[in-house]
Amino acid sequence: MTPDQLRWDIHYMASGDEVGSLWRELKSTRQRRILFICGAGFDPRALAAVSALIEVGVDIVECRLIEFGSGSGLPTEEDLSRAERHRSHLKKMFAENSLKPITITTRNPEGRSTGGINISAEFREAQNYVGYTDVVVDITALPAELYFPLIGTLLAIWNSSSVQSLELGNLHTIVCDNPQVDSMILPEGGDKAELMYGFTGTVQRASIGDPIPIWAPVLGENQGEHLQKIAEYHRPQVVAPVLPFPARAPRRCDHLLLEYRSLIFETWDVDPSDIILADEQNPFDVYAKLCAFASDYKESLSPIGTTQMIVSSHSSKLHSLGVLLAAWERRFGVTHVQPTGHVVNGSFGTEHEKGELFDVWLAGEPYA
Amino acid sequence: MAQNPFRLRASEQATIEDQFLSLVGPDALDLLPKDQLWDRLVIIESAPGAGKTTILRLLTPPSLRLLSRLKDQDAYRLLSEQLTDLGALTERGPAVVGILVNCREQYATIQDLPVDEQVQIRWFFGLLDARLTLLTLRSILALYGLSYPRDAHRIEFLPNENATIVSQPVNGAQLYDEASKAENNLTDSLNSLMGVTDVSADLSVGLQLPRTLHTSDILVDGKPLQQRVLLMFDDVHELTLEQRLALRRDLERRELTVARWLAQRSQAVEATEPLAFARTEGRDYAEIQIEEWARTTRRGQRFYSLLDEISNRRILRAQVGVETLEACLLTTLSTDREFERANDAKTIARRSAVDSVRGHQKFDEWIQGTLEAEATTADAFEMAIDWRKLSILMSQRLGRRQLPLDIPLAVSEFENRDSSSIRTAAELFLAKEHRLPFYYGMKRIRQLSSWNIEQFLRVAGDLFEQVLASVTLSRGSVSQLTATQQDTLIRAVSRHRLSVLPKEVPFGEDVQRLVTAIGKFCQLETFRETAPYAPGVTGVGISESDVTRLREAAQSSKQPMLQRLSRVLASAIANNVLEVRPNVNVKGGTWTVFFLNRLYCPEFDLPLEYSGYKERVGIDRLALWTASGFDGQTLRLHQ
Repeated sequence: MTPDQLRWDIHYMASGDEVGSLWRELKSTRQRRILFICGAGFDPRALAAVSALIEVGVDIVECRLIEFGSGSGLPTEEDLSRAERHRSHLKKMFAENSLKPITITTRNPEGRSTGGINISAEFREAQNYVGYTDVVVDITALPAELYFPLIGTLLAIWNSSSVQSLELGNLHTIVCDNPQVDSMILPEGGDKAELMYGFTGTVQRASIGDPIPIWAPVLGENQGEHLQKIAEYHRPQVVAPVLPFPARAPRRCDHLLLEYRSLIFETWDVDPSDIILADEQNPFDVYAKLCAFASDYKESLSPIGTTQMIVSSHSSKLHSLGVLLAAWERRFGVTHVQPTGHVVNGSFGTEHEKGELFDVWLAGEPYA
Repeated sequence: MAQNPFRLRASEQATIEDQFLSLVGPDALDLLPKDQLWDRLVIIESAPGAGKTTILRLLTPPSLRLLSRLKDQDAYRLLSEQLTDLGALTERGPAVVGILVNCREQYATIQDLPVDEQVQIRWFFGLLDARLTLLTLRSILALYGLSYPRDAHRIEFLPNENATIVSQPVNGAQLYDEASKAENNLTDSLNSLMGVTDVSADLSVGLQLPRTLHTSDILVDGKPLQQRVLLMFDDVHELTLEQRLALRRDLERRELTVARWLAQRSQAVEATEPLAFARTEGRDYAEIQIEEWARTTRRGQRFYSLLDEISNRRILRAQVGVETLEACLLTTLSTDREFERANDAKTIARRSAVDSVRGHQKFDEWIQGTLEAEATTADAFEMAIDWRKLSILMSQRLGRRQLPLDIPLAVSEFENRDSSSIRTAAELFLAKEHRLPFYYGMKRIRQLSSWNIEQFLRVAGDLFEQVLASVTLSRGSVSQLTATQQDTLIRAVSRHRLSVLPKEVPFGEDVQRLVTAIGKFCQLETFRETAPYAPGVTGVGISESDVTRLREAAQSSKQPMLQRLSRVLASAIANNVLEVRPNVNVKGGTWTVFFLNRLYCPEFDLPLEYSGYKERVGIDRLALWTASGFDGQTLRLHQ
């Protein structure tokens, strides 16, 4: 692969009903042995993906349930009982020895983020994935500070030359997309921007001579404070906001531009030609656009210096997967403002337990 | 519409050097004690946004070089003179080579690695040392206008008379290679998703670079470096407690001849407790507390003139025909509606004052005097204030137990009791009772800053946004913002800032609940008819024994409510939500007072002065407020 070639230039992704079809087809080719990794949170969509796979009839041999604190914020009774309900549903779905809870501490006593280090260490052993036809990571109920390092670690394992002999299976990421639920779960706290563990790129390296920082924030609603913190942290010379277009709500892109007009056009002084439009429902589009943008700038600015690409995701989990893939492949720095907890604006009903499923196939058969 | 200059990045975020310099006022350097800067450890502390990084950045080669070139231009003359006075600039150019290293996150992460403590501390110093070395090379090259790292070989470190062991000269290129290799190894291992590898074998506990600078002469192209080297560590609060202590110990060594400054948020402390206000410390170093300087230097006037300078520099950039923010703001009532309300307020205040003491002859002369004043003035608002003031003073007098004979009090006694505090209290009461504007005019906009430049810029930016809108609507002419417009906007900003606390600060919901409770409590205390703490109460105090209890509770989980309170207070102080004043002596006791950041005061109709606070609130009550919100009760136990 040449430096400009995209690893996922040709990719495979299924959405909606296609997800069921995909797994039925996979099941028909040979018996599946699936390792399913998911979060044990209060997100009402937590069981959507696992239920869909079980409905298809594939064999989930083991489910690793990631338990994590919701941060400093004290969870409400409702959140606690919903999370408990999810746990007991999963217990019913799986035999006792095939459901393995894993506790990840997301903050140490001093309040520093430790989720990235801990989850990466927990899932780092390549031998644990041998014997499975498919490893599926459901990020629906996981926060970004956990699923970025988790998927990054798995991609590192799948691409490590030292594990070639182990014959690892397919690696999928699955997410249940429901913008309404996303908008109801509000981050609490978060006083500083920081680099995501495992995704620091070459940011802050003093050995590099004055790189030109370029920042591409993938925009979502109500994130003004976090965006400002990240901008203050990096002092980017070029800002390239990524907006969702096409999107399910056709005017969403316009609304985001309106919401952030002051930041975009006054504070950051964005050149309109630097605004990136990426398909709201296709993480590979975000990935490709970010990689292309970084390459273009790197080439254009090469006569005057090196560039340093920084990305941040403020939109849906589906969109953030594109950020993750681009950052992992191109060593972009990923910056986020880790909230100390989450609060739910409103209350969840049964309509919030579902959404559109997306299966993003990251490694394995299609890429062999 | 013209670009809002207050929306431009804060000065320390400005990316281009000349833009950065154009935003820095000369007064920014006033707080540096020029006789203590170069021979000992200097610690600069403040809340975020107070300007620490701006000061440090001024001492780096790009800023000093540019300033040296522009020093004769009007806009930069004062700043250049300040730097010359401090010994950082001479006629020939920079006299200091400032090396700025940021201590954010990567270092703290080292302490979360699954390796033993000794290895962790060696990694910390190893990485910091590597970066310091690289940044030293970069800064020296920048000073000479050379390219980094390409020209590193032109620098040489030659052992001098301080060297205790015989050593060889070291070339800059060699140093660069070694330091960049160390940096890459350490950061790669630190961030590896495949696990850490121990690369600490060659690393020592302590910084090597300050020793190297002490025992070497630096040559560039064979000629000695004339400038003084200054090591500047920014955001030191981001380090872990162990790292901070180790770094501080290392830098406090008196034998070091290199100048070194640390900048950190107010909450990072050297003692083991997490509460900044609970610390005690020696004075073997120079400490600069920016807010303290702002508050106490000429009673705040120095800081306010700095704010004026900063805002005026920005206004000039907008090029809309005004030169100061003050010129955009009306300082008196001006609209028909405002006059109408002032008239109503005057009538009601007069009636209320007269009715409240009907039957007492004691106040006849006071009332008569005010009536006579009313007959000679056309300013309804001023008269409304006078009548409200009179009501307050009469209530205070009536509230006393020993009312002597009903002999009329002399007007002179009224005048003795009259004060600017009572006047402000009266204005505040009227604003609340008659929806008159209170938060307007440059003085109060400055007060809203809470000694924080960034906060001032945000508020000024919101006000100037409306000015720009008026320029657009009126096709070019600037119309001043009325008192009501200013007041409405500031109250909206205050409400907004309070509402976003959960999103903005750690333990945000708890912080918001506590601040709201303090605000409501202060409101109850402020608007008592006698205005006992005129102009009002804006803070709460706890005793020394409570501070001790809180410190102990922070360390253990035996008292979860107090532990929760301690972390909430620490978060609120670190994020400039509460302002803390330790060791306040009053009523025979010593108190630690937590004032609301001034920006939250409008939401609770509170004054912006710091004069009033309520001591003896107690941490149990504060803990209760943190958990459940305000209980609606005032404090009567001590009265």
